[in-house]
Amino acid sequence: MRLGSVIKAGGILFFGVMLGVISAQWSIEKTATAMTAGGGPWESWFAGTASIRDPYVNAHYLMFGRLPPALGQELLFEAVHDDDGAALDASCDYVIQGPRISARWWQLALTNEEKNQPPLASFTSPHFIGEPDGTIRVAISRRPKTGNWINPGDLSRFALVLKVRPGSGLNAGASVVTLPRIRRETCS
Amino acid sequence: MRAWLYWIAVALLIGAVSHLSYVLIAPSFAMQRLMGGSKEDSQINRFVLLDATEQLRLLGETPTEALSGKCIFDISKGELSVAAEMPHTFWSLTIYSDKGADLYTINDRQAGTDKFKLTVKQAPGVLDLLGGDQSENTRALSDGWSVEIPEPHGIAVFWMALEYPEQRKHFSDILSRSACTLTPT
Repeated sequence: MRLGSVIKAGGILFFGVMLGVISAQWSIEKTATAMTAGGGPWESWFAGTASIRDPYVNAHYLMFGRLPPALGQELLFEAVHDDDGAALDASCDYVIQGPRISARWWQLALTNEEKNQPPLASFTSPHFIGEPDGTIRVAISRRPKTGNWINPGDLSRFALVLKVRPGSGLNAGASVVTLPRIRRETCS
Repeated sequence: MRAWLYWIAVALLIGAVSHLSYVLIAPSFAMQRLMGGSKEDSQINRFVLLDATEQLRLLGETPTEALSGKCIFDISKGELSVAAEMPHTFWSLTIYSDKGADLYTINDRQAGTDKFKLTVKQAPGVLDLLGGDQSENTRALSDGWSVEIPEPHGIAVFWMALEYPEQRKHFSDILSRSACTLTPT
């Protein structure tokens, strides 16, 4: 076999593999369908009601090193942008504010932008300090804040993951959950 | 011109195979890594409490937020008896296949008790259904908590919420009484 043919075959193989992997990654990221009731930047790959799991949905969680949420037990929401569509930037202060989350247990976690690392900081509903009117308010900032505060540390950009465990065991749909808004304040 | 079309068709075919492999096969390897990847017999069909590092890796929760345990199982040669001892709190038990599919899940409100036994067995294949004796299925289903799952390998994840960090020691003592035991068939 001539060297030229070997190079051509290698190039075709490389191109084909790259085409397949990139199209798969694109398809997985575009599978997020369950937008939340209140709008906002939160996305969910798991609608919470499908008994047969879409393989792209499973791939989204597993390829990022996370167990897929169990049907009827858990909903996972992810945000990499604020309400205005800008990337979440650790040099800025953010306020996450909204109605009380109707669940027996929930966790708000801050992780890297790719969402492939365990949470760098988090807190859960039992440790949460509620507002007098029953709403939730969480500050994200490198500077200490009163009330519920998460420090993004040394990250440049970050993602937020909200894990909600309704606790009923019923198949609550992700699309009916009203989630807090993410508002950017000042940037340093 | 014809040669170019041929090579483009080959590249598209390789791309389709790569695409499907990435979506259908690669997540299985990711799940193996997530489960801990242990193939030692001593780690199979045995309940273990998760330490802080593994809990954070598997569930993304710190030791002050939740307590968890796991049982990596292989029921290709028998039935798995899961004897769960849960404290009186919000808990759940979820069984995943080694491909990442959630096969069974239950929480404290659904179970109605904090101490229960669950028998996990492999669902019969098509050939078994055509020629097999169904009496065993009937006995198992009438014997309290019983579940048949399509995959012989997987992981059972025990999870419970902690209201405050000091609960961890007390809840660990209770949860550690849980057991996974294989009964050969």
